Amino acid sequence: MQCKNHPDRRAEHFCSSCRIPLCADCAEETKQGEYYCFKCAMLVSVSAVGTRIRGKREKAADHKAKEKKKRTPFHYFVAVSSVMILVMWGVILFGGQEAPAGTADLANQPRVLLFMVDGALKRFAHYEGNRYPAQLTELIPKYLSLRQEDISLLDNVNYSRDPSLGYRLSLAKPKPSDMNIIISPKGVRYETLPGGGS
Amino acid sequence: MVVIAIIGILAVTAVPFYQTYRQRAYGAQATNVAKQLVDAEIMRYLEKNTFVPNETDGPIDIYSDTDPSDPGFRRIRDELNVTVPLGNRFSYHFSNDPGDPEGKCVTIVIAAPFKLFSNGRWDVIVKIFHDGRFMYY
Repeated sequence: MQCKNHPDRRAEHFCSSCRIPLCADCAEETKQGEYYCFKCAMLVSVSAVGTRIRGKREKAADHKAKEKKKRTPFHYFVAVSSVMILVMWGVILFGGQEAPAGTADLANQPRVLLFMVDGALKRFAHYEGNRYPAQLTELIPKYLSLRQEDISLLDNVNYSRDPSLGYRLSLAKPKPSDMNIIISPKGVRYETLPGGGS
Repeated sequence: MVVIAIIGILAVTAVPFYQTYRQRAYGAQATNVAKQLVDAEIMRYLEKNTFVPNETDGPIDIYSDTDPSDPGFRRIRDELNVTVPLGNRFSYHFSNDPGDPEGKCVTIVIAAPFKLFSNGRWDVIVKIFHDGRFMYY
């Protein structure tokens, strides 16, 4: 086989890249046992330089990333603050005191509700200048703790302001077998209902 | 800017955090006082066969600004041997209901002008029966 560049010479090597036949003068040995034509040898050489530059750049980027990973006081501040904020919100959302266990429903206990309202009226009068509210809903929530859905329970209580006594409080729907209870600031009075009483 | 933002968030969060913390402390205190009063009322009934206040008395009210010389406060202290904490914004209401169909009983309300419990309640209500049962509402 003849050399591609010198048809009068015998080819001794093949270019490792483009596979053309080369004589001893045309073949460039870049590494041990690897021969290239002049054109491919130039390309390989330039490519090697590029690889070295890219390697250096990658090393520099790694170094920068490592430097970035170093924790500064600012990073500690941000981390500690974030944890504190999370803990605070955890306490705010889930950290309230639990109500005593076994809490029963007020709906079936109008007499308990009556005493509860009586206490609320007295607290209202004590803290609001010795006056009584026009309606029981004025007591909610500061003096009477009833949820929005429980406000209808107040229908079980008769309340009216009385010029001489202050107020009168009684059960709106007492059971026929029970005694009705009438509360005023002067005291508690019981009234036997017609057709019953205990 | 980031630091100022974080400090701002911390400051804004601190207010509800403090309120919850205070609510938890007051709620625990109200529950403890209620337990003491329940025990004391049951002991009183076992000894004297009557609650404080008894059937003929009107309700006893003790407010956060009540003076320790107040007759109601002194009755609770002397007859139940419980000194209810004054000046911590709690108000107490003790009432006897001789007409209750379930028999002799006393109802105690401990109220505060803010939320005491995580369920939104501002008070502790406990009813104590003559047979030693008691029920929270």
